[in-house]
Amino acid sequence: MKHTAQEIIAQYGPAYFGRMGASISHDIKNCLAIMNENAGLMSDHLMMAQKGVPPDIDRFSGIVQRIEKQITRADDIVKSFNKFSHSMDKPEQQLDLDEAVGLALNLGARIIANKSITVTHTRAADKLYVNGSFFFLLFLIWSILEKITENLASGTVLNISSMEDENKQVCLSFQCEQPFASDFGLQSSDQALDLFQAKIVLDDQHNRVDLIFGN
Amino acid sequence: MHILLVDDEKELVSTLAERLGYRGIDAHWAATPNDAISMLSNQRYDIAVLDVQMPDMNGFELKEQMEVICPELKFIFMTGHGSEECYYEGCSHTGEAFYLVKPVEIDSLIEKLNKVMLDGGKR
Repeated sequence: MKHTAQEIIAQYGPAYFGRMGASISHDIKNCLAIMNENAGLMSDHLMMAQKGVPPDIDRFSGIVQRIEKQITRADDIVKSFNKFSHSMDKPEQQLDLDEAVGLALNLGARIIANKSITVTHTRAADKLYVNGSFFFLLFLIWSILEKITENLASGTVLNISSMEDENKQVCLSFQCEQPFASDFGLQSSDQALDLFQAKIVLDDQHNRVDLIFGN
Repeated sequence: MHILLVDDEKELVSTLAERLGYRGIDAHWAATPNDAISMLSNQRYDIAVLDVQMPDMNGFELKEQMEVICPELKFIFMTGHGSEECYYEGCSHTGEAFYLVKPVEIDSLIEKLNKVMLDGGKR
């Protein structure tokens, strides 16, 4: 049975959005916590200065740099989340595949880090585009990534690379040295796959999955 | 009072340790659970303040390993994760009084450290 974009969003959108939102808010909390401690440290030094301890300019400079670093980090996180929030704006558009991979990885960075898995991203030499919904593309990439990393051992490196295959079809390849789950049925992704006229191909060794776009 | 702070956000725990030091509390920090276990094997601590979500091992799993090394060690959890599920899990390990949500106010952390030392905390 074919599902419309609206049906899939209604069914799976809130869960994906909620999961990413929780992860991102956790990271922003960490940025705020670091800024809070550094502001507190500066306040401690000011109090010491008021009591006659000569202020250490280098120390202040270091504290300011740490706060600035966290502001940049939080700003990057919020920018990613803003882009994600707008990913549902258009039902179909031309999408830069590597940009989508980068955003999906940024959004789920904390979840991936907690699994102690390293994900690398090798971009195609030339930009590769697919047509469809940005939200579904992010959802599809994340669903595959979550499925692959479900049973991967800590310390595993997974590479995602974009390319054009021998049939000139745009392809996203997920590959690691260790085999991953042999059952690759993704009910949620199957429906998003339909929308991109895409298919998932798992190799015999079960350590590589290709997402091949027909659209 | 000897405190071990553990959080994968190195800049958070190092700054917190420095600020506690200015208040007369001997605080050390580790940015990975493995470093924390190694430090606990070499030095005595009264209280461990653990982040809940860390790569490799979460704070609750780390608590179990630390208790094997130092059964009398007491715990406080801190988290940036505001979910109810996480809150109740944290409370079940330490009691509501010893669970902090980031950003942590240093005065409330010190208050909880003193309370854990007096009450012993829920084990």
